[in-house]
Amino acid sequence: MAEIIQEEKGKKGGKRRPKKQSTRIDMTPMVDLMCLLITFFMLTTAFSKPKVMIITMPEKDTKQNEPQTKIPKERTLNVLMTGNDKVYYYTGLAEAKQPLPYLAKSDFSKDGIRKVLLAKNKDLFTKIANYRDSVTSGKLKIFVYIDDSLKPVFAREGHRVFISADQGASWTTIPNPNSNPEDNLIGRIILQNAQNPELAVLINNKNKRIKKRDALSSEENFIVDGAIKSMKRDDKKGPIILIKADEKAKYKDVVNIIDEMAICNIASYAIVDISPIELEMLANAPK
Amino acid sequence: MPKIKQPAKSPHIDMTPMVDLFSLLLTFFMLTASFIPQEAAVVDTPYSISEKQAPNHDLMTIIVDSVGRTFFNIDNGNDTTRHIRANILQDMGAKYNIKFTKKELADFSKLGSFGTHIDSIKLWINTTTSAARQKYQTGLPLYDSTNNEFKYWIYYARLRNGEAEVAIKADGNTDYKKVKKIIDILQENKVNKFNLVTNLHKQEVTLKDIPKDVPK
Repeated sequence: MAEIIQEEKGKKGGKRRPKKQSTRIDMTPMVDLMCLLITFFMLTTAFSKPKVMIITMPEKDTKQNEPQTKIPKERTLNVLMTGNDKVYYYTGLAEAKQPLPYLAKSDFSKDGIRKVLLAKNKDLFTKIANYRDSVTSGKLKIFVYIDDSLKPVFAREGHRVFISADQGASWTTIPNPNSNPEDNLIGRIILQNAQNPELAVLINNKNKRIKKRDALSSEENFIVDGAIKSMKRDDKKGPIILIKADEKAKYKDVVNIIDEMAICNIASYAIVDISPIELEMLANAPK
Repeated sequence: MPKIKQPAKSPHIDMTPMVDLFSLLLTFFMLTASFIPQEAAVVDTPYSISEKQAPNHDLMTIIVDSVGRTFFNIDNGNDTTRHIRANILQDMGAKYNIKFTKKELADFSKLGSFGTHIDSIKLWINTTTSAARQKYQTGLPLYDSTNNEFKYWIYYARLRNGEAEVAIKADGNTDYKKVKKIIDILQENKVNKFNLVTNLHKQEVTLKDIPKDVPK
């Protein structure tokens, strides 16, 4: 196919020499086979492992007598889902025999429910964004824990290990009591939290200066995640989002809204059952 | 002017560089290949910004397709000598009075996700072609109050592999109430943490995106 075998002409008569064989091998069948194999492997390879979104649901069997956690009305934002990518929301509480709250309509676009969530969660979102920015810009130095020997110290309760611009003051450095002086020379120190002396971190200040970049190392990410987690835990003013889905809601609606929680750094949200009043509100809501 | 005669060129192309490249590619793909596991149903998962990866092993996967059929899968774990899948099947057999041969247990260990009624699971295991096998994949019974096989699959899976995490791989267009039902059953089995399988879709939100007022 790819090779046209040219017959040599001429040289009639004379001594008949053995025909000179071409050193070229016809590679076409080999190439064909390789193409097939490559295609096969390309199509069957699973390159990226699936990504997962972790969600923890509240335990079911709570004791009947136990009082349910009351949440402040003014912090509550109810998000109702009813399929077709539509999402409704209202603030406060919908109670029988009370004037019903206004049910606003929104969607999952960039300017949809996200704007509402961002506006409500402005303080925490700004705090986290600034923290992230100061880490990636190198303004805030993250000390990476390297030594394994003090792992129990590090792995204490909740990994509340972070040094941020505003928290930095409450952390003091103390010489490592367990190490020999040489260790301090190569730059090992321990940080101790002023409020919570038990919470100590081994750090390595020999760590290279952090330059402006997009990706952090996994250790840094671990510390940053821990810091953000505890910022969320300490947030006492942000909105509390109650996610409710009716019969028509699709699974992707619920995933979308949980995703919005992650995008907007919402500290507290929960998936709860929809109430009859809310179903009624949805029925009368603007289409 | 005399015509310049072009010397006759051989139409032969040197394929060596191409072959070189091909062999490199082939080697690369062969070495990196981790095959896409064959799954009982095609599922189009929703999108999220999460970059967390699903665990490699010790994972129970519950697949829900767009019409709500449910399939179950559990891997053999890191230590295959525990024979997790075979043990679960044996437990289920004891529960529903079905005896499985050694070969059936071994075959079951190698198979993937299933959504087969316990009565026809023997048939499913003993079918050799995947096309024929598909006929028994009707989805695990969930809603029936008399037949709660799904619950027992979860129960025995939890019993045999306590550290297994639960991943829910549901189609975006599945009704949420179906997924909710599955979550409820899982919570009855004391599973409260779920990995929802999603596709990565990055979204950038910066401080500039915060509106001045709450939009009305």
